Amino acid sequence: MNARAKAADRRASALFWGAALLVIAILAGIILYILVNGVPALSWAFLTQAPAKMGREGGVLPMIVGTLVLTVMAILIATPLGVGTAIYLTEYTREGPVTQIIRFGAESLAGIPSIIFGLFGFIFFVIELDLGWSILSGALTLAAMILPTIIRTAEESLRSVPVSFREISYALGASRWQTVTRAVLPTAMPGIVTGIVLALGRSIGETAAVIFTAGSSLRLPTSLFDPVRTLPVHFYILAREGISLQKAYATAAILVIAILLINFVAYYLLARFSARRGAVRR
Amino acid sequence: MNEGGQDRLGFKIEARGFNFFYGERQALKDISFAVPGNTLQVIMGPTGSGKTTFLRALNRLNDLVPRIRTAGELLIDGHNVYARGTDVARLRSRVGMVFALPTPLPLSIFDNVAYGPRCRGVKGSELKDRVEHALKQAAIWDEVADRLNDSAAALSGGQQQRLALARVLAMRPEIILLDEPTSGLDPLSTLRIEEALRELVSDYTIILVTHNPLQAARIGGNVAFFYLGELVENGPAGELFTNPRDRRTEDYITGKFG
Amino acid sequence: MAMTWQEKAIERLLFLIALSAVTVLILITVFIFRGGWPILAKVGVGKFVSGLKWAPSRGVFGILPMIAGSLWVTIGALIVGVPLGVACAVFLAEIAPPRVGAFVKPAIELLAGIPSVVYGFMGLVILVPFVRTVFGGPGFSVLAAAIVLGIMILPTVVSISYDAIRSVPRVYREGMYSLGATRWQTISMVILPAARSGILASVILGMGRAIGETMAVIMVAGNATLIPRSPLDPVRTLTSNIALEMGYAAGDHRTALFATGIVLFVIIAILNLIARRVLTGGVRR
Repeated sequence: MNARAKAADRRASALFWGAALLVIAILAGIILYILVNGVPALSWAFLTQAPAKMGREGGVLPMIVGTLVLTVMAILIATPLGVGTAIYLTEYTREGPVTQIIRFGAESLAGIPSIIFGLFGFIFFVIELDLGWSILSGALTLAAMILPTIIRTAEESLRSVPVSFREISYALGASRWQTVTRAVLPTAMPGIVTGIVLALGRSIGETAAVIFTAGSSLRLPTSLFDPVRTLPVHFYILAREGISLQKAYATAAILVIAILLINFVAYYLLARFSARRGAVRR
Repeated sequence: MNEGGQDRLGFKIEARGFNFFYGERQALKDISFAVPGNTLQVIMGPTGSGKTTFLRALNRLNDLVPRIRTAGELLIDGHNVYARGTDVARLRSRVGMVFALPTPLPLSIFDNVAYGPRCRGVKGSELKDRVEHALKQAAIWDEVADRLNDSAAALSGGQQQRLALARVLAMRPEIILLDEPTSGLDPLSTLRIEEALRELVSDYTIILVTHNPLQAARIGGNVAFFYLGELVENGPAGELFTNPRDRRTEDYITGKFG
Repeated sequence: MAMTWQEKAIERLLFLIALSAVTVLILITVFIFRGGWPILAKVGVGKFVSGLKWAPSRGVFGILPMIAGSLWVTIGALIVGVPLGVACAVFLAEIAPPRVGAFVKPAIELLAGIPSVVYGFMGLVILVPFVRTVFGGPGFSVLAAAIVLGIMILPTVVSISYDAIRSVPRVYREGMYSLGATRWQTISMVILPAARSGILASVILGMGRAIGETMAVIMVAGNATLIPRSPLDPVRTLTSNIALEMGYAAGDHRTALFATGIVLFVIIAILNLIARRVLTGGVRR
């Protein structure tokens, strides 16, 4: 019986290791495939030129600019709202019906698929508020999408600040806002920033919500009211319409590299954040 | 700083039939005693006797806990601390607190001590003077004068606790509350802090909470024995330890429980 | 605590900010429903949901094929993703040595960061030809979509199952090991059963993720508006329906797409509510 159990244990172990290896292989496969096929097609010209012939030739400069502006704007809109919500939840209220409603809102928002955000963004920002297909519409829609992520990570960071910091601050006669800005937020900042970086990573790859709100114009945007095509949208169009496989790979390579960089930055921040927390006694 | 506002009997702090509830649980029962200005008052007792609750009532730090209730009066300079409309932030700048765990804020040594005054708008050279004076009063200036910008986390436990004391002193309070300030420290650091307190009592009213009767006996001043939320007795250290009036006090100081 | 008027103003402002998530949620609900309700009223919810034909140019709006498509594709994704995901979660929680775990966990989280269009593309250039040559059919199929989606829901399933497994109290493991049980016996007899409500929640949330996925599915599923009869048939999901035609739809057609959105929204809302019940119900037990 013992030998049978041991054999079953070994088989199970092998299966579990196999599962992990399979997943790692898939991840590596995807990344390598894109990079191997896309990096050779990358060039300085590709990064700095505008597209020509619907993207069959030329570069992706407007897409890079568009992606950057769109995601940065989304972050700028969502961060104050998300961090503010987290501050309110952790510092200004106790658990009760109000916090439950707020949390329900944030959690539900997190579960809504991007296509619904796309529909919403279209009918609300593009049509109802008459912003048209524009960077503004896209940024507002993206901001709504990443809001729950920022709320969640900000709240986690704020809650991980030791209670003693707040007590010390209050005991010295500080007001609530002073305690938040001088004692709590600075301590929670690394975690909050990590959350923002992760939200950034999510927005960069977003397609469904963007294509119906920011449009798919190939031109370099000159104002916030101009439509814009982001890198993933461009990639999608190139791939599906079969315009240029080579340019598609190159575009995907840029995306993948950007996402790898963002994730590494987030990990570095997270590691620093945990190390700092360890250094401070609770 | 300590002349104004004392009531007709001259007590800095007075509890009159003070009760305190956490929700349904009563933590303090009918506490009545008085602390004159510029004295050192020790509150001793086993865990759960309400000592910390009493201390935190004095600077209303208990407000951070939900569903608290009080009855009776807790007076500082004749004014009820729990009266409606009390400026709590101002109260806390007059009543400083040192906690059991010497937690420095994740800032430099200077910024730790400057935290309170900065919140009140003090800056520039006045700020620097206050920080230096506070560090001197806490008997730690010599050890940190040349590294004020270093992180406070680099200090030892005993130093961090003296830093916490300096942090409080920088606010120029009238009353200093210490909640088991030396329970986690080595004997040498403990003695240094006790020494610093003895020097400070000439300018401040000090209340120190401890669960160690030996420390209570050593420090002197008046000692109040709290047990299960009640004030059992209060008197000068010499008398209380040689001639306790209550059986429970005697049991506590002879180590029968605690 | 007595507060100055500035403090009160800040608190009020923060309260308003805190309402932003709920406000957005309400706005989305209102506008999606407003956008699609006219068609539901005109055609009737029952006929809309059970109609077999989707022919917008003729004013025929039945989304049953898409519902079936979403269902098949999601079930397939669960078949692919749940065993693999739970196995990875067990691996990370119970089997992996610390250094290996510290590498694998972030790697799985990295999977979540890859854009869906990249997944779709990989499905397009690798999976679709593979399915076509090995299994026959057009390649654009339920099978291809299920595999791609299964991989895409891995991070969700892994992270929630991992948390559930980790929160099984240590005493359960210690009890088993002290009786001489093997690791596999401990996992299968004690840990997995104890974590089952969390794992179930991860399945439901993975389901929600799969149903809501759009771009990857469009690129590999074939997008035929027919009820699939085999895993090799091409299929269109609710999400693809919206994304494919939104670009040029007008009038009733556009309204019908919003109505599709309503159906999707309701399905996901129900799934999320079930997931929440399962998660909190498990904790209480």
